[in-house]
Amino acid sequence: MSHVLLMTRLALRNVRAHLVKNLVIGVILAFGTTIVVTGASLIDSLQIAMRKSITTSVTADLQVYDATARDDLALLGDMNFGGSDNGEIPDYATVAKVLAGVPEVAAVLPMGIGNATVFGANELDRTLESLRAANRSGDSALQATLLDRVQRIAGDIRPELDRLDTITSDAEKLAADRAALDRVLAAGFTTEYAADPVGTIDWMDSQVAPLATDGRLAYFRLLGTDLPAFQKHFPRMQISRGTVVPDGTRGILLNESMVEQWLKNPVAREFDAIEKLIDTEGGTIGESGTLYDRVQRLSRQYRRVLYQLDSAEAAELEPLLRKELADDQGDLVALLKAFLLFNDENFKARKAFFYQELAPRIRLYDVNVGDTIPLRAFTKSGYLKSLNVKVYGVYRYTGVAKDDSAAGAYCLIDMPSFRDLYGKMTDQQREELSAIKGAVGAAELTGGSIEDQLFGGGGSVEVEVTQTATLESLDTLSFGRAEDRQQQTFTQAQIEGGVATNIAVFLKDPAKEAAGMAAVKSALDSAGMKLKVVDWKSASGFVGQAAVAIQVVLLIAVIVLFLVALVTINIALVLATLERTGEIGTMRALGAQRPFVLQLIMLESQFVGVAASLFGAGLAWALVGWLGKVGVPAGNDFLSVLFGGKALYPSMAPEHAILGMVLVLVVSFAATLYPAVLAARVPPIVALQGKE
Amino acid sequence: MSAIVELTHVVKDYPLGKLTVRALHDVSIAIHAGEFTAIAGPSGSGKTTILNMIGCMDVPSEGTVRIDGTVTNTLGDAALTDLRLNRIGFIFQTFNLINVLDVYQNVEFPLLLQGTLSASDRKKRVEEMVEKVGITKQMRQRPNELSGGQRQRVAIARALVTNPAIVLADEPTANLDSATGNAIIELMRELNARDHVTFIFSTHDPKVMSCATRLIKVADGKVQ
Repeated sequence: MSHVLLMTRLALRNVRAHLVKNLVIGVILAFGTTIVVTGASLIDSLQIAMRKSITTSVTADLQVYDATARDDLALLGDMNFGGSDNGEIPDYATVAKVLAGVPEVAAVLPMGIGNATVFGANELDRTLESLRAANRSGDSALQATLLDRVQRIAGDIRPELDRLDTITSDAEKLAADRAALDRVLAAGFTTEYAADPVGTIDWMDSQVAPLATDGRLAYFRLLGTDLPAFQKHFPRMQISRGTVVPDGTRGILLNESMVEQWLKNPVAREFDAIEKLIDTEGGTIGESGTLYDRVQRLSRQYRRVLYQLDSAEAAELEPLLRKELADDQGDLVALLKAFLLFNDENFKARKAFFYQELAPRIRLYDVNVGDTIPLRAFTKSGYLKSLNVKVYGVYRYTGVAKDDSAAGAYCLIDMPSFRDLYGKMTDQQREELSAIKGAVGAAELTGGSIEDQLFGGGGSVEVEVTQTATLESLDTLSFGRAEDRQQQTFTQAQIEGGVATNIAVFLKDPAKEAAGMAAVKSALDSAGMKLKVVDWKSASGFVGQAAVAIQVVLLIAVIVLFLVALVTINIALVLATLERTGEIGTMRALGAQRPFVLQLIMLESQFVGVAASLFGAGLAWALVGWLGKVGVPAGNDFLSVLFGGKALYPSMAPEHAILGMVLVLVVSFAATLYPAVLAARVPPIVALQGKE
Repeated sequence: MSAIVELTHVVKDYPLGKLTVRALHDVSIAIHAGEFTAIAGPSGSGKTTILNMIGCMDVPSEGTVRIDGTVTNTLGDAALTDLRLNRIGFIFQTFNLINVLDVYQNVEFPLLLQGTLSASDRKKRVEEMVEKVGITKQMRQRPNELSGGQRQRVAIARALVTNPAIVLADEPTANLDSATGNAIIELMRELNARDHVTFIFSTHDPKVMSCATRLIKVADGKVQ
């Protein structure tokens, strides 16, 4: 006990006596503690936010998919750009039944991952389509307006053809294109249209429409699922526009961020993007090369607005633009170009004007709620499949942190439609196909005598025909008719019975993920199903691995930091020990054993370590607390997914402080060990060598 | 009466590169309890080496060193340290007080290392020793607040506080002015006479030598 008293007294006094050295060491250790505690808090908060963001929006706690799949499941994206092969689960219902028997499982949900494209028509296509409809309905006023819009688009394209003179290699085609536009722009064109509206529209469809700017191809990442069940199990999903897809019907829900990013009018989108860059990155158009270039490019996008205006709208808009720009010169084209060429001073005003005056006059989104869109996708067999699906609504995720977030920009589609695009037929479709085969007298050609059967005399094909179909008789069959398919309804058994690419598994206790995973795996193995079970991190793909990567980076940083600290502290202590040989020699001469000296030096550094780590942890607590209030801004969409929102709001748990302090004490201990051994080796004879 | 310190045919060699330097040549000394012995000789004569042997800080190359009945030649570091703690008191030329401790704590230091006395006994003993050497008023002062003479008094108190069999003093007056040096020698003499403490000190000061009851002269590593 007296040893402890003596050692503590000496250690405390020595720490104070060598204040500068200990302050230097203390600052290093406190800095290390702050870094470790803050880092650990950030990573843990990130993991929690990520988990909430990802598991409550698409992955659930676990995912089950084909064990023989070529690629790993990556619900939030991978390096295959949508071309992953995740295999398939031939019958979801069978697997769901097995999973329902696992006590740890709360619910399961079928999922089908796929891609589709929607080709958006160009403005001239759209105008001609409207013109055709107006002609059918006999709306003369609307026809006049639309014809005027066609002429204005043609008038805008015409000068561009003159510029092609020097670069075209097909002068004949160029001359024909010019002639076509000149015909549209001619004074008598309205009379020509009045005489033969349908013929004129057909001619414009084939000769004029291709000269307009191409329409845009939009890519849709599809997630086929049981839509009502999806909304029930992922309650953060909220419909922001439109409605849910009615139970048992075909339909698609678009993802809001995908709509904003891919389906919004490019001019509007660019206004949004520039504002975001200015707000989040603090850039200015005057100073940032990127922003300046974007503004320059935007002014060349004026057609995206112009082509959507008819004469009346153009006439309304022109004076408003003149007033806004304080410009008396130039036509609408010049005004639009000038309007889109903004700077830091007038950007906010231009954006407000755009949304107030221009946006209501144009089609702001390529696809709107209520539209029926033609989804095209390559099936697993490799052929192109098209399916018309009604857009019922737009959805978003809310409520992970203080801001909204969206993990994965999937468009949610009903399971039967997914299966149609995937290329798998339902039992109902198989029955219909069989009926068609019967109706047309189709026979299966098998064996090695196919040629004989097709072309040989007395072939079996001709013999087996028992019924001859007429086109009228095919009308009685619903298979293949888009309108009928849109109206189809499905029972729950039909939604669940069939192929899925993966299954989302919700655990009763998400905290016991490993146990749940083992139970699910065991149940599937026992049922003889070759299926893989992965956790949410693995299932989310490289996004999920980001947390691991960040952890590794921090770990490396901590190791480097601590190595530097270890070496620095070690050198400082060795030098300090060399200065203290007289004092140590005296203690040894007076009867202090080597272990006493060793423990004394170790205790001194541990006192410094404890004080420094407490200070460092306190600093980290203040720092994390502050970050928790103001948030760490995400800056980009990728980080938004990781952060579970537009910012990460970290919090510090006691274990973070304990981890940091223990690590620092270990480093301090390791750094002191060698100097302490050196001190213990100081011989007592030093005391007699005149050193005090 | 048996000797409290007994050096028998002690030889001490030190390696110096490829050479070996012999610091002591067949030294035999016997010192009895209660003696006030001076080991005298010029610098390099070997008196410090003899003190090192007696102080259990070094062991002989040949011969035997017996301290209070214990042969030190074969003892390990821990046993030698124990011997120093319990049987020997040290007074150094440069005082060698622990600067971070005050007078009281410096004197208490060996008692805390021993760990045998209770806190109250320890306090009583320290205060007794401090009083004996005449520095009670300075008890809560740090060494750097004391004069040379006061520091050496603290060192004497520290050396005596454990009731050692021998007190070794290495040139105890070398860093003091003559008046203070005389006072210190006087104090040591007084303690020797009153408490029968055995003092062995090295010196080359003739005035100090004259105070010794026994004088051992050393030259070229040999006792003369």
